[in-house]
Amino acid sequence: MHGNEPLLSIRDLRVTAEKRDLTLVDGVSLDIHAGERMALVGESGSGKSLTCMSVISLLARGLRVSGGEIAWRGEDISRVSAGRMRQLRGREISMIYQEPLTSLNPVLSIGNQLGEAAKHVSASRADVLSMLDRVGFDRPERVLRQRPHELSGGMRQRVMIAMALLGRPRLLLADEPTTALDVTVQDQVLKLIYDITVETGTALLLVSHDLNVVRRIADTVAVLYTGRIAESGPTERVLSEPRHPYTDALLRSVPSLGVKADRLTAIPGRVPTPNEWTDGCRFASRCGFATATCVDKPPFAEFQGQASACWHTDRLIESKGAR
Amino acid sequence: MTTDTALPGTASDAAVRVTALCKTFRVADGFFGRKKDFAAVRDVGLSVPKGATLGIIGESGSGKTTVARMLAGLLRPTSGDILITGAPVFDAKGRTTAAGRTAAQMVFQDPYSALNPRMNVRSILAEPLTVAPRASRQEIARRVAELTDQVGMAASALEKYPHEFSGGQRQRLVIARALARKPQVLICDEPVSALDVSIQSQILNLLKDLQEEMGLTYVFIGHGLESVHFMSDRISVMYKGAVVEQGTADDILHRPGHEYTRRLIESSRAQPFKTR
Repeated sequence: MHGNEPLLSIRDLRVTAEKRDLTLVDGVSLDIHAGERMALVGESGSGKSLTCMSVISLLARGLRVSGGEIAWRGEDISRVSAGRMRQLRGREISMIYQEPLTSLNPVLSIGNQLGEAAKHVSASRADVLSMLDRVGFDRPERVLRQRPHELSGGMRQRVMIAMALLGRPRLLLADEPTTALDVTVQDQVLKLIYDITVETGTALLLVSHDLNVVRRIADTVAVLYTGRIAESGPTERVLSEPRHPYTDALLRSVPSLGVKADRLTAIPGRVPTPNEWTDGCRFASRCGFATATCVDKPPFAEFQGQASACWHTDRLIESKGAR
Repeated sequence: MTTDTALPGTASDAAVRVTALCKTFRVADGFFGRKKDFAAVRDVGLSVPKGATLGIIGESGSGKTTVARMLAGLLRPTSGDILITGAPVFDAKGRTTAAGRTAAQMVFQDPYSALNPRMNVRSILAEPLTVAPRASRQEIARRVAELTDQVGMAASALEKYPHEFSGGQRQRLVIARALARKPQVLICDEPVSALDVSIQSQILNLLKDLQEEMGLTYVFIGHGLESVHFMSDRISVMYKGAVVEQGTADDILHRPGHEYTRRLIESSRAQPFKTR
């Protein structure tokens, strides 16, 4: 399906909060190949954003990569110099963020900010204008003179996408790129990201909490829970035949437009906080399949490209068959 | 399919009845302090039978939260009438009436900012009961215990402070506080959108349980179609301050009339994008 060598290969990534000595990302491994669209899905505190931020060394102060490897086309970039990372940012790996208003400088014109980005990646004014045209601005010249407050949320995010893609990166990181937008605008921006990655062959690592968003855009998905990957594989498979009880419970707990249910199948309890994490399965306390075995760390078992970290995948599948 | 604003039943059994509701804000326009009028809500009519749920959907800026704040008596309408169980929420001078202060209560979107961080659970729940007519101390203690039980919180939570709770527990607390004065109507303004996905279903189920137990009437506001459809008997679609479409939840879903509704449904269907 993909070329042999992955673009980005993360192995056993650990991110630690130094002061309190808390592990927040606890052994995440994933591969992204050229042109692949992968989603990291999870709830707050699952480590999805930290994993993404680790890739381009944008972890907040006090957080650091404390273990594992992030290989970018064979080069370990997890502890790379600031200078080398600056070379990679924009040209090889770009990022767009959740809230386009806070990512843009309110007192500078769009042209000013895009110009700065263009200089960094040696793009011309014509490149900027054609990119603005591509992301959906009818009159690119006019946008250049405008300031962020004059644009709607969707338009601002389009500007951010244009800025991120100016240097023709091989990988686009997108951290909840549509969460701050209205539902219908969300969909337009998501479609733009999809189309543009298809056209340019740019790979995508999308961070999201929204299963609908993931289903629409991602080829592959990794479901994170409490700093670890619970399940990963082709999106369609994972979301239709989940092999981890967490994925399964999550899918069944969201209201569906198909049937108007009387009650939702709720997941009991809450997500444990990092100081409550054990070595064993961290979903066990909320899981219908949990047994005494679950105090030990579940192995990551792979089956036809779909992998899940659960002792009881067999019983989950069995229960599906019986239903 | 746009249907008439009237619902089956007579005026007397409507828990919420809103007619010709308008709200205009004076907003600054440009640098020189000129003011202009912005019509946030235009001629909105709603009616919710007792014990039912009316969902309101619309994009940001559509006026849905402004309607919610007026229903809860927190914001004075420019014109129009709001009746909660037959009693007006605002008097002729535009002041919130006694009935308007208790009959409808608000469940806010963000449980992190809706709770005073320096008050413990006991005082958060007792505070609404100390407003006139003031309840006795024994009555307050009894009611506080009852409320925590109703929203599924442990009695041991009473001495804790908001920061000690997860988002879901905090939202339970916000709901318990809203129930303290025994309102007939809860106005829920996106009550789950700030919560984690695995917690949202717990809160939605809790709201349904409470509605069944107490015969509550809900106005449920959201921007995602799935949760609004799940909660609501009828749905009103707001667009640019006006109600552009009303109908039963299934009608809106299966026979949407307005372009905005159609786009909303399309994006909720979550079909994978296809390469052209």
